[in-house]
Amino acid sequence: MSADCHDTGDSGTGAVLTDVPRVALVGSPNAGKTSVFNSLTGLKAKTGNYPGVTVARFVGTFRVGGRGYVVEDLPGTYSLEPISPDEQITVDVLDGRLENVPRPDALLVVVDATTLRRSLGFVAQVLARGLPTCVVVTFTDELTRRQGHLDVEALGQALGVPVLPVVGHRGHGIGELRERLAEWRSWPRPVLPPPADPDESDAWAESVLAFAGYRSAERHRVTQRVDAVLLHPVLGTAVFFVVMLLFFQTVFTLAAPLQGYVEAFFGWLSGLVAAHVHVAWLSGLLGDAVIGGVGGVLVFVPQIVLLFLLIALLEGVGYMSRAAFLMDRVMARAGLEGRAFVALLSSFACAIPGIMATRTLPSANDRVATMMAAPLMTCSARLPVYVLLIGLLVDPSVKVGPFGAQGLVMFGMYLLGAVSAMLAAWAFKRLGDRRGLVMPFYMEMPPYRLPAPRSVLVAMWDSSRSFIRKCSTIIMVTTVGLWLLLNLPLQSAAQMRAAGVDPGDATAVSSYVVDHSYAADLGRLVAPVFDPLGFDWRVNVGVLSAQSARETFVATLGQVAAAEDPEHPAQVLRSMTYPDGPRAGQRVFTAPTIAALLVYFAYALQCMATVGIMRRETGTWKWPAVAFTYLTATAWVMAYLARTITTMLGG
Amino acid sequence: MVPTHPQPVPGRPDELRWVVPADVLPLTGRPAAVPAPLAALLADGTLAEVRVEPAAVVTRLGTGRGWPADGPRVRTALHAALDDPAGWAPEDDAGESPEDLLLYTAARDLIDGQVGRFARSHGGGIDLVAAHEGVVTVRLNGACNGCPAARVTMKRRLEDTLRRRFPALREVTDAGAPPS
Repeated sequence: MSADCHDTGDSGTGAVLTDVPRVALVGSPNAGKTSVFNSLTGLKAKTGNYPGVTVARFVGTFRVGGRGYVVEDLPGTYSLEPISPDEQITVDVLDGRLENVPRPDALLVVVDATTLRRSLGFVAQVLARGLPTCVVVTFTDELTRRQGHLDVEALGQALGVPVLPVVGHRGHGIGELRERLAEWRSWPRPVLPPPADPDESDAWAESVLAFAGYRSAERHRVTQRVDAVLLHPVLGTAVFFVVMLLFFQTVFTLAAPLQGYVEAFFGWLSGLVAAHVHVAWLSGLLGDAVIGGVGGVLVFVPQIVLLFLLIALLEGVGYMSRAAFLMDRVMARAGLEGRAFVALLSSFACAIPGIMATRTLPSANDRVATMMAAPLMTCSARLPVYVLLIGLLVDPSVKVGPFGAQGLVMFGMYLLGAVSAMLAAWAFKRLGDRRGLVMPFYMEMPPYRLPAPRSVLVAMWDSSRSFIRKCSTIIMVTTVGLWLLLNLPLQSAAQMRAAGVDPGDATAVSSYVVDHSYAADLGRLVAPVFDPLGFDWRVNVGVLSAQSARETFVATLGQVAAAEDPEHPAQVLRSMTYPDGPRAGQRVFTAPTIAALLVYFAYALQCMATVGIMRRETGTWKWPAVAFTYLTATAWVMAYLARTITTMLGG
Repeated sequence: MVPTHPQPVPGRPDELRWVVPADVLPLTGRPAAVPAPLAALLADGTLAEVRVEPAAVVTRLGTGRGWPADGPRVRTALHAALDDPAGWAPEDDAGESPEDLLLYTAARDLIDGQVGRFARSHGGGIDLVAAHEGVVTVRLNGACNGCPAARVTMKRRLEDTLRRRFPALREVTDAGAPPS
C-alpha cells in the first residue's frame, strides 16, 4: 500500500482501481444514509444499476489524507433477512456474492438515533458479518430536541466498534467521519460478535441501550398532532384529496408561464432557422422535425420538473408514507398494499419510475399486478396529447360552474386512468395469485422533517434528466424518421404538374408531398384497423408514430399540419377533412373521433421505454408482451365504445 | 432474559466483561459456586475463571480457547446462569475489603483506557491515588491542572463512566483541587 501524496493526479470517478479501499453505506430507509453519502462524496456520485437487476446503484469517491476511497450507497434495508429485491442486493453485496461488485472493505452502518432501539437488531446482523465497521448515528440533534438521550461514546464502547454522530444535512461530523475512514484498517472490532439467537439478541440490544444511557425520544409533538389529522380515516382522506388537488393544480398552473418561455425560445429558434438556413431540406428537417417535433415535447419540461419536485418534496417531508398508509385500505380492495400506491402515484409522472418503485413490494404477484396497472396511470407523456385533443374538443370559454370545461375533461381523463389502473391491478392480482399468500407489510411513519434541499433537488434532477434523455433519444429518432417518411419519395416538378399542382406554390407542394409520402401509404395500410374509430391516415400515422413515445403524436400532427399551412397549424387541424374514402370531405376532428382518440391514448401502451423497463424488471418478455397485448386490445375496444356513445349523444 | 453484552477488558484479550444490570447478582468477587451451565464450562476447561463485579460478570478463557469459537457457548451458559441468581454462592472468605479492590481496579482500567486517553488528547493526565468505601481519589495534572472548567468536566466524565461499572460509587474527588 503506497499511501503517498503524489497520486492525486489520477483521482476522478472513472477507473475503479482494485487497491482503492471500498466503503459501503448500509442502513434502513430514512436513516439519513443518502445525506451522509452526499456529504462524503460531494455529489460526485455515479448512478447505475446492479448487474442483472434494475436496482439503482450509487457509487462515489472521496479523498482524505492523499488517498482515494470508493464509497457505495447500498439500498436501504431493515434487516439482512431480505424480503424485497432491493434488500437482497444489499445482502448479496455484503457477502460478496454479486458479480462485478467487489465485497466492500469496510462498512458504515447508518442508524437513526430516534429509532435506535429497532435499528440495533440490524446493527447486530451487520457486525456478525465481521467486516471492519463504523456506526454512524444520525438525527442526534432531533433526539435531543425531543427529550431523548444517547451517550455516543458509551455506545461505541458497548458495541466494540467506532461510533460517530453525524448530522448529515447540516454536515456536522462529516470531517471527523472522513478522518476515521482513513484509519479503517485499525478500527476496533467486537471481540465476540452479537448473538444470532433472537432472545439473546434482544438481551444484547437491551443491555447495549442501557449502557449507552439511551432514552428514546418523546413522540415528535408536531408529528403526533399532524398525524392525528392526517391519518384520521375521514379527515385524513379529505386532506389527501385536497393535497392531490393542489398537487395537480400546482403542476398545471405554475408550469404554464414557464412553458410559455420554453415555447418562446423554440419559436425564436425556428425563426433563426427560417432566416439563416436556405437549403430547403435542411431547413425542413431542423424546423419541422427537430424544433417542431422535439421542441414541441420539450415544452413540457417545466411541468415534468415540477411534478418530480413535488413528489420528491412530499417524500422528503414524510407525507408519502402517510398517503400510502391511507391508501392501503383503498388498495386492499384491489388486493394490493399501500406501497403499491406510491408506485402508482409516481406513474402520474411516468410509468418508468412507477414500475421501478414496485421493487419495494416484497411479493412477486403484487409487483406484476402493479406493473401491469402502472401504464394506465395518466403519465406526463399523455399530457401534451390530451392538451391538444381537449383543445380541439372543448371550447376554452365553456364553463361548468366555476370550473373550465377543459380542466374538467382533463380531470376526467386522470380519473379514468386511475380507476382503470385499479381495476387492472385487481384483475391481475386475482389471476396471479389464487393461493393468496399474504406478505408482511411493514412501513415506517418517519417523523415530519424538513427535507435537505440538496436531497430533494438531486432526486428531482435524476428523474427529470431521464425525461430529457428520452426526448433527445427515442423521440428525436422517431421524429426524424417520421419526417423522412413524410417527405419521401421525392416528387419531381413534372410529376406535380401532371397532378395539377403548381410547383411554385410552397404550401400546395408540401401538401402534395405529404399526401403521397411513404407515411401516407403506411397510414392507409392500417386504415382498416382504425377506420371504425374514425381516424384518417394522418391520425393513423400519428398513432403509429406515438407507439414509440406518446408525445410524438403531437409532433407528427404538428408536422402534418405545418406542411399544409405553416402559419396556422391549429386551424388546419380543426378544419382537417377526410381526403378520401366514404367520409371524404367531412371534418376529421369531430367530437366522436376526438373522444375515441382520447380514450385510445388513455389505454394503449404506447411507450417503448415502458416495455423495455418491464422486460428489465421482470427479466422476461412475457409480461411486456402481456401488457402490450391487453392494453392495445382494451384501447381499441374502449375507443370504439367512446366513439359510439359520443355519436349517440349527438356529438 | 437478563440483558447483557460483552466488552473487552483492556490488556486482557482472554477476558470478557459481561455488563449486567447492577441488582441481578447478590454477590461480588469469585463465587464459590455458579449455576450448572456455567459450572460445566469451568469443568471442561472452556473457562478458567468467573468473577462477579457490581455490574458485570468477568469470564476468563481457558488456555487454547478463543472467543470467536467459544464465545457463543459462554454467552448461552451465562444467560442460563443469570436467570438463576440463587445458584450463585458467595465466596467463602471475603478477604480484606474486596469492594475497595474492585473499585480500584475499575478506576485504574478507565484511567489507563478511555478516560485517560480523553484527558491526554486534551493535554492533561489523571493519576489514581486511592479507592476506599466508594470514594475514588485522583490527581489531575497537565493542562487540566488549574483550569476549573476542565477539572469539573474531567471529574464528571470519570464519575459517570465509573458509575456504570461500579454503581455503588459515591464520588470521585480530586486530591489536587484547590481548597474551596
